[in-house]
Amino acid sequence: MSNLPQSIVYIVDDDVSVREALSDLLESVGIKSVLYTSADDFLSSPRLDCPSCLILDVRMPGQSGLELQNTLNAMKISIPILFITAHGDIPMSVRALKNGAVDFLTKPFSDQVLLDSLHSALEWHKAERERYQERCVLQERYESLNVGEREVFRLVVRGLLNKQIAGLLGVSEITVKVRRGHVMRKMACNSLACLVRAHDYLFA
Amino acid sequence: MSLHLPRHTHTQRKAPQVQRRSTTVTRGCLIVVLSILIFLADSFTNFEIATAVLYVSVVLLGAQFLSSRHLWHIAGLCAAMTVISLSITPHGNLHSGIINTALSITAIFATTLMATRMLKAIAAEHEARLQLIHLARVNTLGELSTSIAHEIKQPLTGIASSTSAALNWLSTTPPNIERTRSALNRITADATRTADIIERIRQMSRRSTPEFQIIHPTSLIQNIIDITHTDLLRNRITVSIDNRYEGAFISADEVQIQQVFINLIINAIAAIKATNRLNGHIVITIEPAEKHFVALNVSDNGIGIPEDALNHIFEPFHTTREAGTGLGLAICRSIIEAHGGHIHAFCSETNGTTFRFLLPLFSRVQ
Repeated sequence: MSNLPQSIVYIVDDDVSVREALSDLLESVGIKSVLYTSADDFLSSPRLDCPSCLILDVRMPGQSGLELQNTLNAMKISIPILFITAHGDIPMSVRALKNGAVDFLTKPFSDQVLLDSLHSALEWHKAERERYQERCVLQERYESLNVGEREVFRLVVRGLLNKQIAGLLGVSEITVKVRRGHVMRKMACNSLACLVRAHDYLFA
Repeated sequence: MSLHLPRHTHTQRKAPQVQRRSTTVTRGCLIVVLSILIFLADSFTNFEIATAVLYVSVVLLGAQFLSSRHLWHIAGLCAAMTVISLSITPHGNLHSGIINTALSITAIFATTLMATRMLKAIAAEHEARLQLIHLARVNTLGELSTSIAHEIKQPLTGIASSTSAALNWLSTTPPNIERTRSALNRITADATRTADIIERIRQMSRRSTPEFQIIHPTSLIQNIIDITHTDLLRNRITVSIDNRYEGAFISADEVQIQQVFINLIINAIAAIKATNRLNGHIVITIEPAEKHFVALNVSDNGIGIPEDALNHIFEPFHTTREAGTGLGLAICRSIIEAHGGHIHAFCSETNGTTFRFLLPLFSRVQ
């Protein structure tokens, strides 16, 4: 776990025994954690910009864990959530997992199960953050294309020839060639394959 | 629960046991006086007047507090006194006297027979009611089982995680003794917490004859809120205690009064759930009531009870809940009345129900 020194785990549980024991357990394997007593407490605190995971109790005073999950989804905050509960039932776990939870553990749980889940959640979030970064860069590059270039981009990745594109857009083949060159340069691609991958990434 | 005994009392009332003993003595004296009066009247009236029949009143009075065996002894004594009266009565027709004596003795024994049968029936009913209260308590525990499981799993989770943490701290090089120690301390605290929860449940499910103790209502109510904590939480119900009678103590069977509170809180939760509201609230008030009574109110902002149903809610087997046995409130009434108090319910204008019960005040500490 020490290979993820830059990550943080948020623990939201109203029970002090659970909170402190979990935090100590994570610290003993080198994972830093921040403790919150309620959903509102978590929402009103600043989050760190690093790979993270949320360990969330289902039943809490005020906003429940499942509601916090909905709130985060509505706010488009992408953070893996690992639910822990003392009285899990099937509909509850289905709802949580359908809404994107990484795991649903019933208290008391084995530390190994928790740590395994946590590890994969942190890895996932790390990769997700990288993907997000990449998507942002691509998006920025795409924004720099003008309307004509975007149309050429759209048709090129569909495998059409310059001549066909020229026919469809009603411009000369030379214009298509020039715009295609601009697209390749602005999107920082040196091959058609790279361009297709960028397009998939943007519009997947 | 710890008992805070009052150091200094203002209005001292007799404890129930003392009260019961003094009534027994009064009744015993009454029986002796009555017997002597009847004996004298029987001895100094004519044979024709069957005064001895009045001995049945002695037997009936005895039936109020004596066992069957003692009742037969009293009956025998009365019969003997009737015969003695016969021999010392100076006036009248001896023939009528003998017949009247025989009739009186028959009446005395017949009454005794009926009275002992009645005593047996009362004892059986008492036993049945104790069983019912126990049953209802076990039933209540069943309703609370999810809560109880939840309550116990919290410290267990703490114990499991702290154990793993302690093992991890020990396996570092060099072992981190300080962190291991604090993890072990947490384990001890959690184990104590688990034991406390189990002890509270055990006390509730234990079957016992009523034991009167001197109780401070606020600490009893706090205990109840702790027991029902998860159920309240799950339904987002907040509870507040409003104590307008500081320092009041009641003499009551703690477990039974807990049972009353738990039943009322379970009902309040069901009533709030039925409204689907999110601001469920229960208020428990403690206030002085007339003639040395303490009034305890449990109010909710739930669905309320229809006017015509209010008169029937304390009857056994009256229920509106699908899984209900209809015994909860009947048991509550039975318990409160056994404590010398009474209970009733009313609906407020702002919707919701209030259950109000009175218990005798034991003492008040200023």
